Amino acid sequence: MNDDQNRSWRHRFDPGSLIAGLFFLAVAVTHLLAVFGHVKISGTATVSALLGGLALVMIIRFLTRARRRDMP
Amino acid sequence: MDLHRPGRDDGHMSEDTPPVRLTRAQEGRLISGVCGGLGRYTGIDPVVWRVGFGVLVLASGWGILLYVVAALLMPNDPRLGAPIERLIRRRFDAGGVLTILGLLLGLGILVNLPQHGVATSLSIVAVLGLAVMVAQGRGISIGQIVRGIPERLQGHSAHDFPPPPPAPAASPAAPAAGRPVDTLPPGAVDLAALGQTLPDTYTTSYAAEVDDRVMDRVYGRRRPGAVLGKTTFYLALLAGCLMIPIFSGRPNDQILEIGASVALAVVAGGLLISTWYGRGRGLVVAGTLLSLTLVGTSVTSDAGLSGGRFGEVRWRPVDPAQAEQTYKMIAGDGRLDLTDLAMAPGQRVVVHAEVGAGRLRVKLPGTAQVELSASAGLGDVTVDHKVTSGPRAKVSQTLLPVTATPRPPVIELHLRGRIGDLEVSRDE
Repeated sequence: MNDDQNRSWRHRFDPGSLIAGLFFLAVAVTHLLAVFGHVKISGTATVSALLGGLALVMIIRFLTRARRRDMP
Repeated sequence: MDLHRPGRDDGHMSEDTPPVRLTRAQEGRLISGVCGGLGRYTGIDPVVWRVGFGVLVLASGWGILLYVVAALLMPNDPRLGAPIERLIRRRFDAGGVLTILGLLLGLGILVNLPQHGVATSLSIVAVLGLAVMVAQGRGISIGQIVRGIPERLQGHSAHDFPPPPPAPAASPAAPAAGRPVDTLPPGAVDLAALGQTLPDTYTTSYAAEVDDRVMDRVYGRRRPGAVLGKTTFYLALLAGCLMIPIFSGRPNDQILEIGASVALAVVAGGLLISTWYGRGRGLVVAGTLLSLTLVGTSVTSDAGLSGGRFGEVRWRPVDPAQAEQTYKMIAGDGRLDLTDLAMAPGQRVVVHAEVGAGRLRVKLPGTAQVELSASAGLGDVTVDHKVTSGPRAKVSQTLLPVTATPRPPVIELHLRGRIGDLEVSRDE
């Protein structure tokens, strides 16, 4: 068995995944708090915030797409 | 030639290989052989398919439609083609048929969610999830099938699909033509020979991806991202479903919101892990869909239509005590008939009715005095054939009884419409 077979993937830090993860976590926590009555959210404001946030996440993921290529 | 052999159709067929057809079973059929054919193709016992169709039929009746469509798409004889294929003069391979059925199943979830509630829809989701898990377990690439949906729906045969990138013809130590074997050290890869196997038509990025896959195959490596993505997806599905029994006492829309929020949190966790380790393939798509689901429920709640109904809805209350409620309709054509309301002289009843999109018609008894307050955001308010046009149409008036009565019963009627018309008429 040679070294190449033993070599694992070298993963690079991916800021796009970090931003997406934090954004989705914020959305989930906000909705859970709203369901249990801790905060009150407006439907129209939520739509605007979500679409804006998704657009931002997609832009960041597009700009950092090269980071998602694992190097052997 | 066996055109309906069991096996996997991953869309990669050589030009000499005919497309794999999904045919109905000739032997052991109970109705038309659909489940037998699916069982033969997937290697899963037909009983499992029959149970799945049975669950779908009992849950919403959607299973009947799926079964009929499957029977029309699956030929008895692959040389003759299925009825739909003969009608539209196109052929669907096995993957195409399964894709259409999967899309119909997804549509069933969307249609059933507002009509039958979360529990029914989740039973369909469970069947769909099981099908996906079985498919993944048998090595069928869901992502590849999803990417090929447009081609499959057009009815292209497998011959129309681009040929796969050829696998390296030999071991890592295989030499290029004309080069002696002993020029390569043991275990080294002859990149020149490997490069010759790739067609020139690939773009640079695709070629790089293909190159990675070839290298994976050569070294038998497994990318960590695939494991992380799948694990996160299954954990999110499990966590979301676990919320149903835990919060079973709450309204259906709240259970949906809690389940989706928890599943979204799990997906977010997978993405955070993939920041430093692995790669969460498809997690952003899953997170986006879950977020949009949550926003949809928020908008519905914000419109005050939580628990509202869809389609053609008729209410005809008789008991005044039961009539005092808020009739909610999210979208469709609603009719509220109060003519059979048994009211005592001088009795007062307060009725609220709301519609999100569509039309709401209210019929009132001629013997009652009606204190009407109606507002329509984008639509008209019609009271006894008198139209008040929108947007933001508001009507506030008192309708006297048609027949003079000393102490008439009073109906306090509050109507609210967002996008649509409100109509109020008296019983002649």
